[in-house]
Amino acid sequence: MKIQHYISAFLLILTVSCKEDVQPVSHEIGFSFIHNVGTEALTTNTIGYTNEAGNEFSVETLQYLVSNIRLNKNDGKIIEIEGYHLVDIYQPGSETFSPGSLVEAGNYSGISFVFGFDEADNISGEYPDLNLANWNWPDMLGGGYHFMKLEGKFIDEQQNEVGYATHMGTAREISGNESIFHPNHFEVTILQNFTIDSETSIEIKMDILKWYKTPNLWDLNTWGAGIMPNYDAQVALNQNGQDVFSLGDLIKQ
Amino acid sequence: MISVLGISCGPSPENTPDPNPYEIQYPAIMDQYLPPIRIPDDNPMTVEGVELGEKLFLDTRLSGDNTMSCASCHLPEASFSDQAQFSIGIDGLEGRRNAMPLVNLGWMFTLLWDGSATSLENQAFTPVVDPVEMHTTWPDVEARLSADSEYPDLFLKAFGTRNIDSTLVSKAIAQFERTLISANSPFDKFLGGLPNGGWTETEWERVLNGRDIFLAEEKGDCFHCHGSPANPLWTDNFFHNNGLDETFDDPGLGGVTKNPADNGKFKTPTLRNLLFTAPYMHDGRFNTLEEVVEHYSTGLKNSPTIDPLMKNVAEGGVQLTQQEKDDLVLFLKSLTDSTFLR
Ligand code: HEC
Ligand code: HEC
Repeated sequence: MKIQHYISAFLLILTVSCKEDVQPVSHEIGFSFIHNVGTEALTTNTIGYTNEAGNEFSVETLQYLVSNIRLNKNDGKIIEIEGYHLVDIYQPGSETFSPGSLVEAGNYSGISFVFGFDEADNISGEYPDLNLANWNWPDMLGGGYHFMKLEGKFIDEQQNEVGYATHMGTAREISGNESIFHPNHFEVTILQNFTIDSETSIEIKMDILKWYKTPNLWDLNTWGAGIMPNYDAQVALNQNGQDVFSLGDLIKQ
Repeated sequence: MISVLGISCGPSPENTPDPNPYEIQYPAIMDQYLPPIRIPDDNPMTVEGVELGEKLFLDTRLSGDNTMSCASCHLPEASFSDQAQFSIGIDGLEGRRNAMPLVNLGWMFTLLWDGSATSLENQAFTPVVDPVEMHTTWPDVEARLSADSEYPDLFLKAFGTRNIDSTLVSKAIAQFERTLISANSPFDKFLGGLPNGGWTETEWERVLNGRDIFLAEEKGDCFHCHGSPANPLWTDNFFHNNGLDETFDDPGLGGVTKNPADNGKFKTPTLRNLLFTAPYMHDGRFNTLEEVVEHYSTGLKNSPTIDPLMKNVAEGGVQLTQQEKDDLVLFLKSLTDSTFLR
């Protein structure tokens, strides 16, 4: 306990002395990705969840890409975190992202990131680690990379257990005999006040049920398998994805 | 102080020059799309180590009766795979799985059909002592190699010691295995700019149609597991149940993880060099690529762990047309690199 007092005293001196300096105090920031189905923590491989359309389903695969994370300070400053991160529930460690970035201490009003890659970043074959992870989106659908793979089984109208694959990426629209490729990433903005005053891990939570809920009620009987080339399904995912994320706890080190 | 320590604790210093670092020559397509292969810190690649590894890979003294080498089941002229359905060990006993090709192993995170080996260094220990494979003991192998007129010097050059042990044998073999990089198929050449990959224009039109079926989620949808032009390994390095059986004699990954949700899952094999690596699947049940494609088109069998990407399972698959199946097979053939054969 005593030692802790000394340390805080020391930190206090540091903070005070730094205030007079030009250099603000910074702390290392990391992110951890938490996956829920409604109020429950995600467990894989058993059909036990029900979506808004009433489909009973399981989750076997969940992988998705986030890029360009930004933290918004109350004073208007925006802190950008370079790079991208592939979350994969089967790769232990990928559910946390430690970019090694130092972020200014202070009060923040929110966080934003790109779900997938924006047009400038979504370039076919560009990222060796993502190629190795087999994350590519076919060129005939506009190329670049997948943004999400959410897969599992559901009980269909004939009461059979069948596979579904909710894959998201560039949306191809067919008009006459022409293909028009529409970027399909979206920006997630979570407005919530928080303070960075030590090394912190920020929890980003996804509620899987929301992918299938609003504004488009998603029935796996219609959009179960083979939705990658389906323009309407891709657009619907983009709209439904806007509210799937929220901020969890801030874990201080 | 340091020199005193070195003399008192280390082995007697033998006066050999350090081995020469081995520079992997990546084919252009690997260079463009993949990260460099990960080499363990405690087994850097050296020219001398790779040469020694190749010699060991081909040496029958690694088996109980001096008749079998790694190359007996991993035939260099068959992209280092076995053309027999099940490999036969020195005692005439059959294993239960087909020997897959050894190709582009440096990029694989897990090895063997069930993922039970995680590094090439570890994997090399097992065939030597496996009763259905080379069936000997490591002390015997070490003694035989130590009694040889050349090996002690070759180990000295590669690892700085004449003391031959199983760890160094497996390290040398692993170094050699990392050099088995294959990326010079007609399809690679096409991606590199050679018109029609060197084939005729009519053939190539069909290859490209086959590629589109391979990539189309509503058709073959092969790419989600087997790679795409920007993933030249032609595998996702992961485990899936691709609908071969309703029940499993061989649990595959489930036997390793003990998780029933993994039963019937096997590592996705690379699609490189298929013309030389028949028969196909973990148990070598299919002899031709036509049979493989028919399996995905009409032969799928349902089971609780079947991959969600397997579509229309109740009808056996997506029912490709004859033309689609033929073109898909031709595309698969265009991934064969005959310059890789030794
Ligand atoms: C008797 C035949 C036989 C011999 C001899 C043999 N292997 Fe194999 N090898 C196999 C079989 C069968 C498999 C697949 C086994 C499995 O997955 O359960 C295999 C798999 C492998 C793999 C895994 C490749 C991958 O892509 O996952 C490597 C590496 C390998 N062998 C290296 C060796 C080395 C090195 C030697 C010599 C020390 C050797 N093998 C000797 C039959 C053999
Ligand atoms: C869900 C993942 C998945 C999909 C999709 C898939 N495969 Fe496979 N493939 C596998 C797995 C896993 C194996 C090995 C299975 C086993 O041996 O138990 C395999 C085996 C093969 C083999 C045998 C290779 C060898 O060396 O034994 C070929 C050829 C093949 N697949 C081609 C295809 C084609 C063509 C398609 C598309 C029509 C396709 N696969 C779709 C996962 C998949």
